[in-house]
Amino acid sequence: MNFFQSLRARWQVRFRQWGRWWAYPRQAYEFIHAMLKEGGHLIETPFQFGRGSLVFRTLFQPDGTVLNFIPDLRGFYSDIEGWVELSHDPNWLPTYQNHLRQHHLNTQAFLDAVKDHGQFWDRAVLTGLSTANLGFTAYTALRVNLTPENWWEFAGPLLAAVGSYLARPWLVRQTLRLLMRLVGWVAVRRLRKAGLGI
Amino acid sequence: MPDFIKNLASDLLRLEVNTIIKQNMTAEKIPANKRVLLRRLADSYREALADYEVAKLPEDGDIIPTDAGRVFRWRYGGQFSFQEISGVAKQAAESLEAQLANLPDTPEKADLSNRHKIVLRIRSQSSNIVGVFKMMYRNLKLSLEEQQKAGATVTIPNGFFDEEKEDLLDKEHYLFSQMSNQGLPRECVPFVSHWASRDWNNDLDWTDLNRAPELDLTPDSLSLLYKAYEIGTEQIVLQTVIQIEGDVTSYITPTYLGLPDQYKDIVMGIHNRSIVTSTQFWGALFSTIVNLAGRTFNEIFRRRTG
Repeated sequence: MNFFQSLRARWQVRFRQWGRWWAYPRQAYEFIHAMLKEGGHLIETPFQFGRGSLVFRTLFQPDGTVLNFIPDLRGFYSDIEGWVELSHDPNWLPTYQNHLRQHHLNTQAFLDAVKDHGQFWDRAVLTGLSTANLGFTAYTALRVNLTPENWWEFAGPLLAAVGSYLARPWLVRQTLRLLMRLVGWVAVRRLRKAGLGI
Repeated sequence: MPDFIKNLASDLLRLEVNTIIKQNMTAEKIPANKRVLLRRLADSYREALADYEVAKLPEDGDIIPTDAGRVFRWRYGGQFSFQEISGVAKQAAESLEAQLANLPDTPEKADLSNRHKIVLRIRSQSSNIVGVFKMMYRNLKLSLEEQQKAGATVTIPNGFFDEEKEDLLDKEHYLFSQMSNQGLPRECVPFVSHWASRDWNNDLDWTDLNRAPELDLTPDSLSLLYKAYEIGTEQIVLQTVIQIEGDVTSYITPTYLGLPDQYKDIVMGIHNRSIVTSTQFWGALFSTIVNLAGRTFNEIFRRRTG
C-alpha cells in the first residue's frame, strides 16, 4: 500500500468516527432522558412463537439496578388459552436460545455505545474548555490595543493560562495532599474526642 | 435535581443484578403515562392479594357483611389506594407468618413462603409509593404557601380524606345499593374517584385519569416506580449484589432449584452474562463520571504507575 492509499484509509476511518459522533449528542440526550424521565434504559428483544408474543427485556436503572426479565422456559401464559406448555415442543428451545443470543448482542451494542459516549463527552468537555480559554485570550488580545507599553496586559492572561495548564498536575497533587492531611487531622481529632486517643 | 445526583452517587456504590422469570412475559409496552403505570401496578397488587384470598375486590360479586375490612375500597392508583394495599398486605403477612410457624417442611410450606415474600414486597413497595405521593404533596404545599406569601389567592388542598363523608362513596356501585337495601356495612362500599387531589395524587378512575395533569415525579421516584412495575408480583429467581468494596452476594431461590437441570444451566448462563454486562455498564458509568470530573486525576495515576 503506498503512502496516499494508507493516508486515505486512515482518513476514511477518522471520517466514519466523526460521522458517528454527529449522532452522539442526540443519542446521549435520548439516553439521559430515558434515565431521568423514564426511570431507566430499556433493551427489548421481542419474538413470536406460535400465538405467543414474547420478549427478553433488560432494564438498566440509574441507581445501579439491572433487571433481567426472561420468558419462562417451560411455556407462557396467554389471556385466551391460559397456560401454554412448550417444554415438549422441539422447536421451542432452539428459538428461545436464538433470541437470547440476539438479546445479548443488543445489550452488548448498547454497552459499546455507552463506552463510546464516555470518550466523546470526555473529548467534548476538554475541547470546550480549551476553546473557551483560547477564545477568552483572543478576545483580550483584540480588546487591548497592543503597544510596547501595555503588551503585558495581553501576555499576562496567556502566560497565566499556559502556566496553570503546565502546573495543573502539580497543583492537583498538592491539593490532594492537603485534602488528605485535612481528613487525617479531622479523623484524629474525632477519635480523641471519642476517647480513643492516639 | 441536586438530591437526585446525591442519591445517584451513593446508589452507584452498589450494583444489583436481578433475573426474573415472567410467565406472562408478553411483548406489551410499558405505559408511557405514569398515571396509567401506577394504576396498573395497584391493580396487579390488588389482584395478587385477592388471589391469595387475603382480600376481596368490590367486583367479586360475593361480598358479604363479614367481609368488612377485607374489601378494597380504593380501586385506583394513588396514595389512598396504595395505603390501603399496604395495610392489607401487612395483615396478610402477619397471618402467613403465623401459618408458616406451624407447618412442617413440605412443598405447601415452600409455596406459602413464596407468597409471604411477594406479600412483603407488595407491602414495602406500596409504602414506598405512598412516600412518593407524600413528597409530591409536600412540594405542592410549599409552592402554594410561597404563592400565598406573595399575595396570590390560592387554596391549599388537604393531604388526607374524610372517610365519613357520604359523597366519597361510589353511589353508582351495586354495593352502595346493597348498603342502603340490605344493610351491608359501609366498610364494604368502594370510594369514588378523588378528583380534588389530582394535582399530587392519582386516586382517579380511567375517565379522570386521562384528563388529569401529568404528575411531577422526580427521577429517583420514577426509577422506583419503574422497578416496582417491572417486577410486579413476579418471583426473582437469582439475585447478585456487588458492593463497591468488593463484597459479592448471590441469592439462589428455591424456584431456581426446582427447575429442570437443562433450564437451570440456561437461566444461570443468562444471569452470569448479565453480571458481566452490568459490571461493564457500571464501569462505563463510573469512567464517564471520572473523565468528566477531571482528566487530571487520570494523568497523575498514569504517571505514577508508568
